[in-house]
Parts: sequence; structure tokens; C-alpha cells
Amino acid sequence: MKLGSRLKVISILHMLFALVLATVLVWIFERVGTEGQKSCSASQLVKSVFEINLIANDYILYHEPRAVEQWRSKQESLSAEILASEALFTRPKHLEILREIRGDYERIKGSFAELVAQRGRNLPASAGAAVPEFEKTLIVHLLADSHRIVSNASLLEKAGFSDLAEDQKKAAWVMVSLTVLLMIFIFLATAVFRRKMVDPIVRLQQGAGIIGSGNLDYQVGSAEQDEIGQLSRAFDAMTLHLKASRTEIEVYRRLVEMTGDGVLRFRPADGRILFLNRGLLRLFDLGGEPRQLTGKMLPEVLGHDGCRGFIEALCRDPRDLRNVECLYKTFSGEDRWLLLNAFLFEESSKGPKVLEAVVKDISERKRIENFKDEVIRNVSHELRTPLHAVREGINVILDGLVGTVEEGHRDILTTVKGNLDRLVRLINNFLDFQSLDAGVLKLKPVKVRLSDLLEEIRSTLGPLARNKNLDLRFECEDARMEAEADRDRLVQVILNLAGNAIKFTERGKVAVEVRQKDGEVEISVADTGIGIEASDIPKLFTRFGQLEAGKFHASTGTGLGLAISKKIIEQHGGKIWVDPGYRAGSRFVFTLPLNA
Amino acid sequence: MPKTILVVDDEPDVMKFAVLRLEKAGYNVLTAVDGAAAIEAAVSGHPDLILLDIKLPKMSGYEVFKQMRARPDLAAIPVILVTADASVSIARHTVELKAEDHILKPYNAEELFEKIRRHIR
Repeated sequence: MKLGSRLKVISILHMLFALVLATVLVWIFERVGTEGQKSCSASQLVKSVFEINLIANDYILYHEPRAVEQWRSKQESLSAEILASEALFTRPKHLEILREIRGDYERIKGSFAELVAQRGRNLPASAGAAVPEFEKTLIVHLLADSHRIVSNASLLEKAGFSDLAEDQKKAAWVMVSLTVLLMIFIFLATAVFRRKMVDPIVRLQQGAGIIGSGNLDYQVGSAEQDEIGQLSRAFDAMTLHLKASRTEIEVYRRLVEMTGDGVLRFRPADGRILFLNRGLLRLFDLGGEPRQLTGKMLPEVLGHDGCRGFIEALCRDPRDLRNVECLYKTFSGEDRWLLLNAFLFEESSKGPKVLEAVVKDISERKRIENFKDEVIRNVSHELRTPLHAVREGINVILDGLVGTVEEGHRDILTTVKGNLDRLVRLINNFLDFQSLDAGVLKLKPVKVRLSDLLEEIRSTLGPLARNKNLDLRFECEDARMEAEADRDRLVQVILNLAGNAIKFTERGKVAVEVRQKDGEVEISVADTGIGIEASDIPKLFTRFGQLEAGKFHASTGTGLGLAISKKIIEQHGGKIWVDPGYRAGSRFVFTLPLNA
Repeated sequence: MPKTILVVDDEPDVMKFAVLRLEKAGYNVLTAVDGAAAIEAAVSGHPDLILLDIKLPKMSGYEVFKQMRARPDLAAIPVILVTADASVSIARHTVELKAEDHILKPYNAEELFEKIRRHIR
């Protein structure tokens, strides 16, 4: 049953009880009133009999002439009173007494009438005269009957009083028992109310306390259909949900604890550590438990000099905190490379921001990379030395330094030399790329007049374009335009792009254009060649991407040109891309900061 | 009077072709296969220019260069550093050591002669 209807039932029951009580009270008062009336009417009878006797006395002793009239009227009212009493008394015993009273009344009525008639027949006697014998008899009867009425009426009066007392006693009992009943009812109603409404709320409250103290296995449990039952079940469901969430959090916490990577949460505003894991302690050779360091200041915890690189990395622009490599020097002087990934997190719109960072030890990777670079350098050196000897030997022959060379031999030697040159180019490119990739290639920026640069490229590529009957065009918006760049590297990039353009174009033109745009120098190389599939564009600038894109012919390139060009341009602070909107062939564009 | 060039290289094959080419071009050529021999030859032969390979046994070309520059009798001789190691260090070292020039093996004959002509006095 719902709480609302339950409360309704209780209040209706209370009202019914009140109604019963009121009815009983009314009944009791009525009964008491009736008993009072009985006593009254009996008293009235006694009084009237006395009055009628006085009247009779006046008549008998003093011959009062008005007494007859008075008697008659009194006699009528006495008769009416007897009638009224007969209506009031109901018990047979009382009715018997009333019948006697009625009989006596009739007799005194007869006796008095007889007396009046006797006195009328005889001479009216004067007062004080001797009373005749027959009158004496009548008077004696009259008095005796009157006396009996009085004594009977007194009996009735007494009976009325005792009835009243009895009824009062009964009424008191009824009142007491009703009150007791009402109390029992209230007690029961309160008990029900307590069991059905208060107890569940108390249980709920206790449950909340138990759950609040951390025992998420506790269930309040209720089969009731009322609102409190529903609330209890909702509460239990919430607890289960909470437990599931906590289990999940526990799993994450364990994983965070298990991982060898360092996990750190801290508030940049005041440098306070909010969380760190064992992995971080291990990375920085810190002792103790993570819990002990929570709440401390990061610069204090990582205060020694070796951590400077890491702290500086953390202080960078938050947008710049992806894959940051930084060096940590351990107390024993060992170098440790760390990879930092962090995210500036806003917990609430008002609160201070929190930096969440994952730190990985990449020393091993770095060591392998360095080893790889070392190996490549050594191998390239070892390759170059014999290559140089072979090439020089052929050159010496071809230059005629050891005598004349037959035409057939010259042809073969030229082919051998061409292939050697290609091998040398490949090694050079490869090493270029390695240096650029490692970021160790230092640019030598100078002021470069771009129109001069184009002239130089025209003289290099001109013969190549003429051989294929291509229209090689150079356009420079402003002949005085200058950029600050490593001249040789810039030439290398344009030669690479324009060389590729010529290589992949069979007819039409190759146009190199230089213009100023948005405060940068924009250089583009467009051709009318085979173009590039959109799906190949992302691969183009990667190592050997050209090879993968299937555009590369084994005899002509190294597959590293574009990757190297991209590195060079990016190291200049520029960007390089393929114009996706160009349909006539392909168009490469790169930018350089103007006079940067 | 032909100019004298000292070629320092521990690779005999490379040395052979360099000597051949330089002699054909009319230079007087001295050779050395390690640092000590190089300094000795420089002292006795008074070369007008030295082609100094970096990768030498015992003493590196850089060390040889420093010793030469430290000696008043050799300090004025122009030096072109030569290496087959294409890593950037050669260019940087050339600038840092104040050597006259550097050239990367394998080089072209024209490139070599151009650099020699630029620095020979």
C-alpha cells in the first residue's frame, strides 16, 4: 500500500473512533437526563400530594369554601403528573408502584368527593364544631391513602436516584474503556506507522552510513511496494552501480600502479603533486611510497639538478606536450632519456588546471637509435672508400691519363661510371636523410636572391628539359626578392622537385614560380605530367614513399628526395605540400619565411 | 717551378689514383700513410698544400692538423681535410679548426682541382 493511502486509512479510523466516542457521550448524557427527570417527577408527586393534603386539611378543618376548587385543579395536575411518571418509568417494579399510586389517587379522589357530597347534604358545619362520625372515617381514609402515595412516590424517587447513580457508574466505565480502546488503537497505529514508515527510513539511514563508511556490499533490501521501498531499492541499485564504478577504478589504479611508465598529476598553478605512481618513483630514483609524496611540491620532490630538463619540459606550452623527449641525469651521473606526454586538464570551469602526464623511459630506444646511426655512419664510410677508389680508377682511364681508350671500352666504362655515380648519390642521400632525421644537420643560412637561384637551376636542368622537348619556365614575382636560407640545401630541394617534374612529364611544360604570399615566400613547381593519385599523397614525403607510390623507376632515383626536401624545408621553418586542387599534372608547393 | 702537394691517406688504392691524377696535372706529389709520416714529410718537403684524410691509423687527421698548426714552420701551409665520412662533423670541424677547406670522398676530379687552385699560393 502506498504511504498516502496508508495515512488516509489511519486518519479515517481516528475519525470513526471520535464519532463513536461522541455518540456514546450523547447517549450517556441522554440517559443521565432521563434518570434525572424520573427523580424530578417522583419529587413532584410527593410535593403535589402534600399540597393536596393541605388543601384537604383546609377544607376539613376550616371549611374553606375555595378549597373544593383548589382541590379539583390540584387533583387534575396530580393526575397529569402520575401520567407523566408512568411514561418515564419503565421497569415492571416501578410500574407496579405507579399502579398503586394511581389506585390510591382514585381512592382519595373518591373520598374527597364523598366528603364534599356529605357536607352538601348536611348543614354546613362551622369551624371548630365537632366532626361527625362519617367524616372521620373519610378523613382517615383520605389521609391514609395520601400517606401511601407519598411513601410510594418517595420509593420511586429513590429508585430514580439509584438508577441515575448506576447509569453514571456505567457511563464512567464506558468512558474509561473507550479511552483505553482509543489508547490501544493509537498505540497500534503508531506501531504500524513506525514499522512501515519510520523503521525503513532508519534502515535506509543506517545503510547510508554503512555504505558511506566504505562497505559497498551492503544492501538495504526491501520488498515493500511503497515509496520508501522504492527508495530503498533505488538506493541499493545506486550502491551496486557505485561498486561497479569502484571496481573499475580499482582496476585502473592497479594498472597505473603496475605499469613501468611514470604517471603524474599535478597542479601547475602551485606546483603541488596530486598523484603519482610507483613507476614515476622508479624513473626518478625516488624512495618511499607514492602516498607520502602526494600533496608535496613537485620542484621540491624533483629538486636536484638532474631533473631540470624534465621540469623545463613540463613548463612548456601545454599544446606542445606531445612526445617531448627530455634528459634526466641520475644521482650516479647516468643519462636517462624520458618521453613525456602530458595534457592540461580542466577539472572544473573555476578550479585550477591540472596537468596529467605519462613519462616513459626511452633510454634503451635512444641507445639503439644511436647505435644504428653509428653503424650507418661507419658502413657508409666503409662503402665510400672503395667506391672512391673504383670511381677514380675509371675516371683516370676515361680522362686518358694512362693512354688512349678504345671507343667500345669507353662506352662500357661510361656505363659503369654512371652506375657508380648513382650508388654514390644513393649513399649521399641516405646519409643526408639520416643527418636530417637525427636533427644534426646544421643549416648555414645566408641571404639568397631567389632570381639568381632560379638562373642556377635553369642552367642545371635546361639540357635535361630540352632533351625531352619540355617547356621549362621560371617566373619570379619580384627580381629583388630575397630569403634567408641555406643556399645549397635550397637548391637541392628545388632541383629535386623540378627534376622529378621533368622525370614524370612526357610533354608540355614544367613551371617553377616564386611569389610572396602572407608574409612568406611561396615556391611552386608545376608540371603537366602523369600527376599523383590522391591516395598516394600522404606517402610521398615519407622515406621511400615514392617507391611505394609506384612512380619511381628503379633506374632514376633514390626514393629519398622528397623526404629529404621535406626535412630541409621544415628545418627552415617552412612547409611543403602537394596542391590537391591541381588537375593538369602535379604541383608541389613549399614556403620559406621571408628574410627569417 | 711546380707546386708540391702532400697527400696523406692510409688507403693505398685511393692514394695511387690521387698521385697519378695530381702528377699528370703537373704537381709535385709527396705521400704519407699516417700522421707521424705526414708531419715528417711536411717538414722535409715544404709542400704548398696538404690533402689530409681524417681517418688515419694511430693519430686522427684532426690531431695531425692541430700539431701542424701548432708548429711555426708548418702553420702557414693550407690544408684541405678529406673524408669518406659524410656525417656533418667534417664541415663543422673545418670551420672550428680554421682549416682552409674540406672535400668529401668520392669526389670529382674537377671539384678537387678547383679547391686546390683556390688555396694554393
